[in-house]
Amino acid sequence: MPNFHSIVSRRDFVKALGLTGAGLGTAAAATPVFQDLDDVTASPSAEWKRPWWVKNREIDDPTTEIDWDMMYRSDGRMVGQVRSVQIKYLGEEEVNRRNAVGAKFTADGLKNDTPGLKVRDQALAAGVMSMLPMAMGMIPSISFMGPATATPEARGVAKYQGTPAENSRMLRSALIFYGAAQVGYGEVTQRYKDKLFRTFDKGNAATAYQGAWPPPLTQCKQYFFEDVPVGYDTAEKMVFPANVPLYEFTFIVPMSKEMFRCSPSSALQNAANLSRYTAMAQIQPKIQAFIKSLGYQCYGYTLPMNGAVPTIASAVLTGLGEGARNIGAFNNPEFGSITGLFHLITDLPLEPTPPIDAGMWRFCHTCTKCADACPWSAIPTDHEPSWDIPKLYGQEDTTHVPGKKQFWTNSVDCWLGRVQLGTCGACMGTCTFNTGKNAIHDYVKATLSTTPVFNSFLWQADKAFGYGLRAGEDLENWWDMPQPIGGFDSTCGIQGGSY
Amino acid sequence: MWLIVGLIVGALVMGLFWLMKRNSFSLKWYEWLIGIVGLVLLLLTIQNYFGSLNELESKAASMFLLVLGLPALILLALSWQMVARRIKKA
Repeated sequence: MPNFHSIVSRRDFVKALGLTGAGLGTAAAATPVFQDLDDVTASPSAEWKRPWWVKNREIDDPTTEIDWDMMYRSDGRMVGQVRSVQIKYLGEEEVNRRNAVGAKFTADGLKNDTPGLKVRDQALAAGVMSMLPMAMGMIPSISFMGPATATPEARGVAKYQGTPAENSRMLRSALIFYGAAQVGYGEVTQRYKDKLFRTFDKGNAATAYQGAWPPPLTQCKQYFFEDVPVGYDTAEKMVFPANVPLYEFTFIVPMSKEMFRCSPSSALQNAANLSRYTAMAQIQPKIQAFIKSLGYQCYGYTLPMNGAVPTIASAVLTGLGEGARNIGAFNNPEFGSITGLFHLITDLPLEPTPPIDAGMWRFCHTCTKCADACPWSAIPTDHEPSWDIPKLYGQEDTTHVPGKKQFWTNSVDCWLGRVQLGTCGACMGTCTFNTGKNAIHDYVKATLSTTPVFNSFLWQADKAFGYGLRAGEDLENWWDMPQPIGGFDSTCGIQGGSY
Repeated sequence: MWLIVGLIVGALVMGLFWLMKRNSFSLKWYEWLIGIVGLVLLLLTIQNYFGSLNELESKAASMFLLVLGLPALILLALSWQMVARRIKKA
């Protein structure tokens, strides 16, 4: 029988298919992947997948040889850091000499501008050291003026001097070391002071204070600009210097994408959401001490969720990302929708970074995935933003400030809806931009940035491909997922480097 | 993985040129085009199928097989059949 006008027989065709299959199979074998979550949980090394060349040994039999008969319990006081122990072996005079050498070595390095011991190098370490009293519970970690630390003048050297561009690079490196992912900069102009700085701090109004309106100033301090060289705070106010050039820096603390996919009503999402505040409680004092150790000031939050300027506004203006359909959310090109934002003020000169257009805000005009997922319909489903703020339960909505063309989320329903569910982050978790590292997401982001005509198709494709929130028992599968430290990829967007 | 994929694709392309030389036939421009588009789609399928599995999105992985993998195979088979039938006829 003729082969339907083909010179290739069916047998050859099947062989060719087999070759392709073998190729794919080889490729699959070379890639450590799990077919689904059942594979992960079924694997004996599910919690900790290691390279094949790491071999397990017997329990209590590490590669360092042990003789349990010779061993006894150790004394926590009998360690090399304890002065008495040092004196036991060296004598007091030698211990004092070595300590003096160390102090002089560090001080000389500072004065001689020795690489690795320069002002900024030692300031970076001072930032971490500033946390020790807080870690020991001796002082609160978060404050407007920041922790006490030795200034360069107090240490006998001049304050750090760099161009705004150099300072910006330095501050970015320090912030990333302390736990931030991305940093944007801006100059505090008069318009910024008049339009963006808050009049009152949120203080305890959203937390401890549950009394009548208005909260007393001791609960929510007032912000002022005064003609002083250095800002200060009292029990009732926080003061910025009016005539000193000030700069802002806004930074991103990413959170777990997978845990946000467990929204709404999931303690897993709540854990991820709160992680940004505990991170901020550590980052703020460190960066304040760092900047003070350079000879400048850094004005901080009163609580990890309070700031002098709305952070989404500063993040958008400094180019960290774009606004989102939910007015209380934000989209970053690299980290997507699951980010915490924080914003501090300093007199260290910084080079402003411009706003960006990655097509994400335009995409939000088309996509209503977050609004569709909102259990309380608090996010509008309109396709065109508006200058006009709609009434809120028949009254003027004073929770929003006009002057922005936005989709106006009902912030009262949003918050109390969250409270009624225990927690909620459904809008952020289901967002089309809450995606992983697969290459297709880069293709999609590049496409919607340059070719908005595909926005509707891409939104529908996101749904068809099954991205978004998890449900039911699938939530508990988070416990068996291989996840990076902190639940997010800290190398995201980093070019080069030894990772 | 991409090293192995590259080796396989390289071997297949070399095999194609060897066949063309041995059997003294050539491909029309549209046969090249369909074949290359099919190959690119196949590589995209491999990239995004395994990428989706890596980010634990099994439904997305299956969808990539369907919306990229299937057209890739159809185009590759189409290209192959067009050449085969043309040569048979000649």
